[in-house]
Amino acid sequence: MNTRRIDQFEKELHDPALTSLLRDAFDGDPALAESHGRSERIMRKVLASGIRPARPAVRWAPLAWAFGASAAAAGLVLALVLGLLQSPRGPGNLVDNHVAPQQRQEQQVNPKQLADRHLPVPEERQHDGWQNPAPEGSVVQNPDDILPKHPDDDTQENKPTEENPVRVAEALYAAGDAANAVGDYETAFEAYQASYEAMPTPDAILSSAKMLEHLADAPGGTEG
Amino acid sequence: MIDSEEGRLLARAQRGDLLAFESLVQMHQQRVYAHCYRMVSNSAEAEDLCAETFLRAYQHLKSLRADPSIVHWMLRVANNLCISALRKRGTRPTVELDEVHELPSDTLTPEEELLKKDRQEVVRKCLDMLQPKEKTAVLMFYLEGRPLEDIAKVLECGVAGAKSRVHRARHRLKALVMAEFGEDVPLPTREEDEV
Repeated sequence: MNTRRIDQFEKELHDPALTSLLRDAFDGDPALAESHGRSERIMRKVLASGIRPARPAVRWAPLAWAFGASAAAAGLVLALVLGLLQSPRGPGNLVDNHVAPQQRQEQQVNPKQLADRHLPVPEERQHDGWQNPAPEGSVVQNPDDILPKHPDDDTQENKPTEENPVRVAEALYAAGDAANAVGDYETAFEAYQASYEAMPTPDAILSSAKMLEHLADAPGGTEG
Repeated sequence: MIDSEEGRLLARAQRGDLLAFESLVQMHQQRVYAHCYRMVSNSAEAEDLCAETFLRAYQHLKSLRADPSIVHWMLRVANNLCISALRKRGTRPTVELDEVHELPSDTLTPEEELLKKDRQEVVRKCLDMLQPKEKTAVLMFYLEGRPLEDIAKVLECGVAGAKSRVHRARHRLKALVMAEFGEDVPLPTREEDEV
């Protein structure tokens, strides 16, 4: 509202008679005379009250917004981190190699599926699947049955033939996977070693080394 | 903060200087007290209300701003305290006749003194019959000569709202005074009319 309009308002309200009447009403009133000592009395009351100047009022709205935004940002970061950890391609999966054997024994595991999941399949194995893949729900073949026998045991069927070393190596590798899946690291190690001997592959040597680590970590770890 | 004596005193008081706060008290206590007295018509109660006002000012010292003066904030607090006191009292406040005209006038005759006393008593009684905020508006505008902007700050309303209150209060007070005196309101003598 501009000053001119306010001045106009005040002119409209101007009333000398009422002003005079009101001034007269309080004229000569001793109670309105300057009182000496009133300031001291007021200061005494202020000091005696024990009241101290309070801090200025905090503007809560900006603080509330800042807190809410920070909490939301922190929640978002946490969700991203947790999502990353839980991702199938994330690091969480690599850590989960020490699953209790009891948990895995009840699973119906297809060795071929194990091979595909844990390690990238070498090119030689990709085109050559199982001749007789295990049907769904079937019991896993006992790895001991397909492990190479003792060298003294030279039955024909157990000898790795030179005609199909790839197939033999794959079978032994799959057996190793099956043993690893149920937590039988010793059997798995022997299977991976045999697979390597049948046909040296990086996967076989790596898996063997991994089984050795497991065996070393196990309580009363074996040498070797 | 406005660069004024009051602003400098306020800044020092906010930093803990009690002497600066006392200087502010000395600067404004008379005006605050006078307002309280005119509202409640009781000097002892007005003293208490005035002290309470400065107590609250001290409590909220760090929030005060001399923009342009802290007196409007103080008058607002004082006015609200007076209104609360009047409401607590319930009945209309009575004018302390003993306090009126204790000092004899050198210029008026005894009859004139008596007339003046009667006039004052009636006008004050009519003032007390106004609503508290109307009373504040009419006292500040006509008696103290304050601008509408100051009244708006004390009554926590806009300038138009302050104008409306002053206008209503003026008409109502005149009606009440005329009801008491009839159409011939005994106005003060011309020498006292400063307008």
